[in-house]
Amino acid sequence: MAQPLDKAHFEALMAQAGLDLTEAEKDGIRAASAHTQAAAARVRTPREVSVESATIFTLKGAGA
Amino acid sequence: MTSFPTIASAARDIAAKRISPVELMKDHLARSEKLNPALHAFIRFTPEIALEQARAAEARQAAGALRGPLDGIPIAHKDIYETAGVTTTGHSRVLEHHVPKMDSAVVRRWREAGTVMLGKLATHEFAWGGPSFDLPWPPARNPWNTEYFTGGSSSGTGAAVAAGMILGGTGSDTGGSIRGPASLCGIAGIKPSYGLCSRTGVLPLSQSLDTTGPMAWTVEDCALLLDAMTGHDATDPSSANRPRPDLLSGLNGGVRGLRIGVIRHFHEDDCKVSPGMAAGIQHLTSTLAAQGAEIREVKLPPLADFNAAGWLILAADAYAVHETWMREKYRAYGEFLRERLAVAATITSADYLQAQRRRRELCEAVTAVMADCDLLVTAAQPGEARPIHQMTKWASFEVPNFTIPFNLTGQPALTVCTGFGAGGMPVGAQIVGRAFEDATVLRAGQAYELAAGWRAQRPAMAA
Repeated sequence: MAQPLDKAHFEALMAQAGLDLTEAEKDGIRAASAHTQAAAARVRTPREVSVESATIFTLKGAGA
Repeated sequence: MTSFPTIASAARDIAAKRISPVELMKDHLARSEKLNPALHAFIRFTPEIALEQARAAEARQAAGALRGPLDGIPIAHKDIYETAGVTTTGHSRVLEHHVPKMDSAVVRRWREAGTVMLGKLATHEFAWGGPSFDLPWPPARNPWNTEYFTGGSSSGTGAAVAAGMILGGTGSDTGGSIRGPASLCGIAGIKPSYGLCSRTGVLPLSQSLDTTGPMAWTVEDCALLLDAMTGHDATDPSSANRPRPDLLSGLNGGVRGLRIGVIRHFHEDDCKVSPGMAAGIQHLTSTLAAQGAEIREVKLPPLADFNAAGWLILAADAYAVHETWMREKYRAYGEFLRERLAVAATITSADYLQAQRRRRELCEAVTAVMADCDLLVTAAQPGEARPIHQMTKWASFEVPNFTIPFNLTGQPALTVCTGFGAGGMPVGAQIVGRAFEDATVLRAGQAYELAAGWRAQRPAMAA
């Protein structure tokens, strides 16, 4: 299992999001960030350097 | 003995003038009002609309001008579907007084087909935050045991259909919100192909995963409801511009010759399901094999890989939807949703793009397997419903999810009841098809359901 975000990093993200949390809420949410950290690690599978992300889109010309 | 018509049987009786749409509506509204204090499936009844729509159906019946099999059928809508002039809240204090000016596209299509709306149904808050006890309305309860969870987020629809309050209803499915409640409540529910049904006017959770779809007691009823939902809608950018599929004429065509791949490692290794769920999957595959389907085992990437990509995308998309309200109205949300969204605020742009890149690889892996398979089968849930008070805030991340893989791929996926497990609670498995082959999925579900006989049993409280 991945580690939760460290406290300073987590608090910066919550401040950036404009969320005013209690200390107890911060503790619980930061602990749960371990789940998203684990997911973020799992999706980073080996890949070719030139691989396309999935966010390309196809232009359709006139009459398409 | 209470009778429980299906949509198909009620439609035949309405067409033959054996039953009155007004009486059918009144019977179901009375049942709903009687059971709702225990089930909390409805958060709002709309008796005036129901009476007006039922009277109009009855007039068409008398004139021999019925619009089709949904004319006069009592239904209800999940409260993320906007309804003109009727409060649509997302089961949230944030939108407690939101009264839309227009119907969502699906509500309009069902209304035009003649359905009779009894009210608005409970959901997890904005289709992700639940089961929550700190919202303006309590969470729906499972009619098979009211101490137990319904699944979510289409919780009210699952409970209301199982209890016979309505003959069908709308759900939405971003990570399994139709198929999960269908499994835990012992009904049928289909997440259609992404793009088959319009989402215009439905409160969003994740635009690249959200799918609208029907839930009903039988597969046949799901087919009838879905048939009235399909069709291109230029107001929804995800709507597929392709001809409406024929979902009905081949419904009873059987499964002979269909190649069905069982994703055994999902439910036996990646997340071992309960004995009841395992027995249900075995019953499903052996029943279809006995009818001439060819059953084989298939291998996909690990279930955890689908969950990682799926939850990162869902959570990041949801945070984007709610970002401004989270900043301005944080305490108006229930604890479960606001804290899940706060976790989502920690997902970086790189995480999100990596998840989308991985999604494409996973889609390609499934497509490769489906070159030799017409359908896939796996669990719809890890097991039977659990006590509602055992459901945790972080369950979305902690418990592997069998349904989100097919939100990632956009494929049609049906939950069909496969029996009863521990404590007499129902279980359901998924039948998954190729994109836009929803009719094949429904055909296999129909073949199983008719052979299995589970539809004879209703929750005791509904009798």
